[in-house]
Formats: sequence, C-alpha cells, structure tokens
Amino acid sequence: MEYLVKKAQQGDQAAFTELIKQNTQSLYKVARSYLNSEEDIADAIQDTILVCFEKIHGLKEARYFKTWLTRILINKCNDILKQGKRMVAVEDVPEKVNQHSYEDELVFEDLMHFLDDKYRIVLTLYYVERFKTSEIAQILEVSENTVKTRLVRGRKEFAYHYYIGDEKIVGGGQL
Amino acid sequence: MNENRIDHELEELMNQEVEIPEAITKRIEETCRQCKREEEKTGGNVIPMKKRSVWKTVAAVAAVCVIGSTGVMAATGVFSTNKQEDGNQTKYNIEVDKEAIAHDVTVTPQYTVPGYVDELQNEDDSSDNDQQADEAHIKALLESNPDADEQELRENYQGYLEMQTPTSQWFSYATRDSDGNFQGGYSVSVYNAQKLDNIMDNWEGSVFEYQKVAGEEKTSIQNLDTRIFTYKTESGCPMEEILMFNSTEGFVIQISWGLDDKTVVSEDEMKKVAEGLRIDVSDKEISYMTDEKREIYKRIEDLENNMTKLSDDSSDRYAAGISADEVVGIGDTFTGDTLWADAGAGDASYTITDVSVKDAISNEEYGKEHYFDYDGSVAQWVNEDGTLKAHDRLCTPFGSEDSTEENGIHSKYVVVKVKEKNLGKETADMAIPYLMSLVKAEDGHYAYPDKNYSPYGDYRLQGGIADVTTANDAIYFSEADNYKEVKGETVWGEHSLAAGEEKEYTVIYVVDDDQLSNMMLTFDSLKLKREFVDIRQ
Repeated sequence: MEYLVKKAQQGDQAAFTELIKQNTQSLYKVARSYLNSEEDIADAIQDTILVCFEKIHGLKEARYFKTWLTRILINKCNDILKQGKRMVAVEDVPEKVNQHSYEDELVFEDLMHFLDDKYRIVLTLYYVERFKTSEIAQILEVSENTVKTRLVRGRKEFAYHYYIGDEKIVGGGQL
Repeated sequence: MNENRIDHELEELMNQEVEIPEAITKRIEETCRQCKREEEKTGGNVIPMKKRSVWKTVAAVAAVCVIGSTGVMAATGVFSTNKQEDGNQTKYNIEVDKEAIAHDVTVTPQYTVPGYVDELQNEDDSSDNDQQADEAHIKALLESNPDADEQELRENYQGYLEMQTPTSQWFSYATRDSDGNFQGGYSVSVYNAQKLDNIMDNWEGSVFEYQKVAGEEKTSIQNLDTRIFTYKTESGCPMEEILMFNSTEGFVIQISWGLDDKTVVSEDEMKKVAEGLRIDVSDKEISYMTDEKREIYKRIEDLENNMTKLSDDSSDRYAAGISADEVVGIGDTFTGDTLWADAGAGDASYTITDVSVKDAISNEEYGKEHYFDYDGSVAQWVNEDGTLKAHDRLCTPFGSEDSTEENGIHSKYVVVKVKEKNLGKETADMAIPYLMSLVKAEDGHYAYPDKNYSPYGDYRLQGGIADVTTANDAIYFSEADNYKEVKGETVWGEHSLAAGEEKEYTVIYVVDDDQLSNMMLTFDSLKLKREFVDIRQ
C-alpha cells in the first residue's frame, strides 16, 4: 500500500483509485459503524475521498496512510452526526436483530444492527483495522481507558446477542 | 462463552467481505472519476467541489456592498421602492407601509422551459437531508429552551423557514452534474409584502442587489413595471434577473438564472416564463411580523449559524485546536453525559472543585489501594520521600515519525478533586476525566501541541499509551479499591452513581514539569461535544 500512496502523492490517478479501491471495505465498515443511512455513509465516504485526494500530497509518512484516512473519515462521520442527519427516516433504520441461533449465519451487517453505536466504532477499528487500543485512542482522541471500556462493553453486548450451540447466552450477557 | 471465543467470533464477523450497497459503490467510483477529472483539469491543484444545491438562497447570492446615490422609483400602494446606484452596482431598498394590508401571493408558471422540471414535483434526496437537519435544529432549540412549547416552537421554526425560502423554484435536471447537483437552472420567486418587509429587515435588501451590472432593461411584463438585470456575482458568474414590481397589491416577482456556465436558458425563454406566470393574490390578509416574532427568528437564525459552523469541514480540527467556547474553568459546573448515555443526554453534572500540584505525596494520605497497580507500576518510580523519579520519554514533532529520546524528565503529581452528580432517573456508570495537553494561543483558542510525548521503556505513570499529550490517565482514583484489571471485566476509573446521587472523589495524575502549563481535563468520550476544563498551572 505504501507504494500506491507514494505514487498517488506523485499524482498517479490510477494509483489513487486503486488505493481507494483497496480501502473500500474498510471505509464502508468504519462509516457504517457510525452511520445508519446509506446516503449518509455515501456522503461521508465521498467527502473523505475528496479530502484524501486534496491532501494526500501533504502526508509525510506513507505508512500512516490508513490511520490518516480513517481519521478523516471519522471526522466526516462526526460532521454528519453533528448536522443531525443521523435522524434518518424510520424506514432507513434497520430493525434490531434478535438473538441468533447457531444455525443462523451472522454477518457484519447484523453486528451493526444489534451492537450499540457506542461500541461499533471501537470494535471496527480494533478488529477490522487492527489498530492497537493506544492507536485507537489517538485516532479518536480519547484515553486508552475509554477505548478499553468500549471494547469490554462491546464484547459483552456481542455475547449477549450471540449464542452458539450449547454455550447459549440468554438475557444475562454472561461471559 | 470465553473471552477468546468472543474475540475469535468477532474477528471473523468483522472481517467478512461485506456487500457494499450499490449506491455507495457507485458514489465511490464516481468520486474517484471526479478526482481524476480534477487532476486532469488542474494538474493536481484541486478545486473544491460543491456537493449540494444552494438554490434555496439563490436570490441572496450577491453580497452586501456600499451604495452611494439614491433615487426613488416608485412610492405608491403597499410599498415604495428606492433604487440605489453606485457605479456598476445597483440595489433596491423596499419600504413596506405596514398600515397597508398584506396578501398572500402565489405564482404558477404556465410555461416551463423545455427540458426543465419543477424541483418541487420531483424527488430530490437533498430534501430528505434538509428535513433531517431541520429536525436536528428543532431538537437543539428544544434542548436550549426546555420550557418552550414544542408545538409552538415547531410553528415558529416553520415560519422562520418560510420567511427564508422564496416560494417557487425550478431547476433543470438536464444540467445536473455527475454528482446529481444542480449546476444550472432558473428560479422563480415571489415576495409578498410581509416577505418584503422581512427580507429588508433581515437581509438589508441584499436580495435585490446587483454587482458588476452590465445591463439593465426597463420593460413591462403582464403590465407590471419590470427590470431585467445582467450582472455578475462576486465570483464572476454571469447572472440575469427579471424583477416584476406590483406596489399596488404589494409583491415582487423575481426570476433568476445563470450562476454558472452550464446554464443554457436564454433571456427570451425566461421572458416567456415571466409572461406565462399565473399570479394569484389571495383575499386572505396576512400579518406583518411582530418584534417578538422577529426576536424568535433571530434566535433561530443564531442557532442555524452555530450549527452551520459546527458542520464546517473538521478534518483540520486537530490543527485548529479547541475553541475557547468549549473550555470551562475550575469551580465551573457543566452538564455532560453519563458513561453510556447517548451523546447530549445531559444526564450528569461535573465540577472540578480543586487542583493542586505537588512535588510529593504520601501513602498515608493517598492509600496504595486506590492506585492503579501501585506495586507493579507506581512504586518503582517513587522516591522514599514521595517525590517522583526522573524518567525518559520520546518526543515526536507533530506530523513526523522521527522521535528523539529525552532523558531525565522531571514530573509532579497533579491532584484533582471532582464533584459529579447523576441527573438521570436511573443508576448510571461514570468515568473519571483524563488529561490532555493543549497550548493556549494568543487569540484565546487552545491549540494542540506541536510535539507529542510518549512513555519510554516500562514507565507507566502517564497512562501508558503511545501519546500522553492526547490522553494522560490518572494513576490514583479515590473510589478504586485494590483495582485489578481482569481482561474483559473491569476498566480503571469506571464507577456507578445512583439516580440523583452526588459524589466527590480525587484523582491524581503525573505530569511532566514542562506540561503543567498546558493541562486540560476532559471526560470520556466518543461524544460529539465535550467540555474541557482549563487547569493550567
């Protein structure tokens, strides 16, 4: 990826496009962890790409591209939340998913449905982006304790909603 | 289910390849293409791209400018029109006689330029967003006016919007750009006497103001005194506008087109639109705005402006730092949220009641049991007299990855007393605050430091994270009791508070000597808005 970043910094548009393509899943997952409506997610990602395009030349360390990109995206998501666009029409908000049985195939989108938005972003940065808790703390500008707290709670909530075979977790959220 | 199993399941689920909705994929692809076009066009110098239509305020595009000479054009009926000209700038001031009766007026085009459609008759995704933004603004207004009647407030907000928005507007889908934004088109607006009075009062006549006027044609359309202006906006965009005055019945019709080079509609076509307008003057009397209403709308406008400010691009927030508005002082009580409340819940209050910097502290006064792992993390850095041993740190200039090691750094204890109250109706979890380093700038705002400091080696007294300038965690919390971190179970500083309960506690931080003058406290969280407490010493 660093090679692509450097090429993009030199004005190689194909490299830039490829860079975005390689990060599309991440961009979507992070934005989705903040926002519910497709339109908002698209707006956030679009704005992020534009800022990325505009400012990539100034990125000093290519290896920190992903952290930088994620931070821009999070700012954009927060902007949208601040504008109150999050209050989307009811039909845009997916209904919460009930507890799953083992037979059900749980997918990423289900997680977004039943995880509280307080935990989604930290879990996404931790498990998808594979940032360390200290890095997440830096990206989100919060203390590492806050990140750890969210991770703990997020895992608990996940366990609460998710149960597997005979290790069934019902209601109590026991770990 | 054990912790490892949860980790494993979460890891798998989170890393599934997701099917991204087609609309989002298309937007991403189109944005990349847009970037490519900009790159080709500018050679790398990116021109900011507008995302949404601004036709709602098309009539106010021209900025207010200084006007010299004046001349009365008409002074009969409901309003008098005062035309001011200064060089190639022209502006109309309209003075409404509030003794005259104002009637509602609607205009309906009977002729639409081929290829153009009435925006109001077509779905536009931005209108949903507008509605959502409006709801957010109403909610914010209700929060700032808890005693207000919601219905009344909604009506006021609606009135405010109506006051702002001209009536009819038409746009051309044919000239939409690849983002779906309106890049050309025309608008038809009508201002009744009430609206004229409002806009003259609020916008100081800028609705009928023209700069760089290249031509003015006097004519009559539908037996109404008419002017057709050819002018340019401040940014040089050519525009044209038809103004049709009816001072007897008290209305002005404004037809605007231009704004960018993508508009292809001709003046002749627009004259046809003007000639084809059906004008309906209602018998129903409408009242002029009262001073009380004006005051209400002013407050709404202030809120709108603040929210617009908030929504400005924040990607440079880090560089911009923190506004002085977000900062309170020692002894100030501010409303915040409990740990798990939704952002803006306002279900807790906090006060930093006291801050003291100490060279040494004793275990008699501050028991070991209240520390985060005293024996494992703290003791080795404390001298027998209770002072702190010097430590090393890494210094990294902002934006660089080149760190330099700094040795023999001296630090002090910062003892902070916090009072908190659960304002909610249920027991809630609370978090302790953490420290940031922010440098007060000359203009009053607080800037992020240009250097970050990181712990070095096994030094763990400042939270143990990579960057202590962003967040420095307390080492002592008076409510903690032999805290032991158990993975997946407990988190340092988290505690609960019953509904209505108030608690005072003490937290202690370790701060490097050179950062004592930059200390700012803030509470958890991933919140949209948080308060910072200036405890600089």
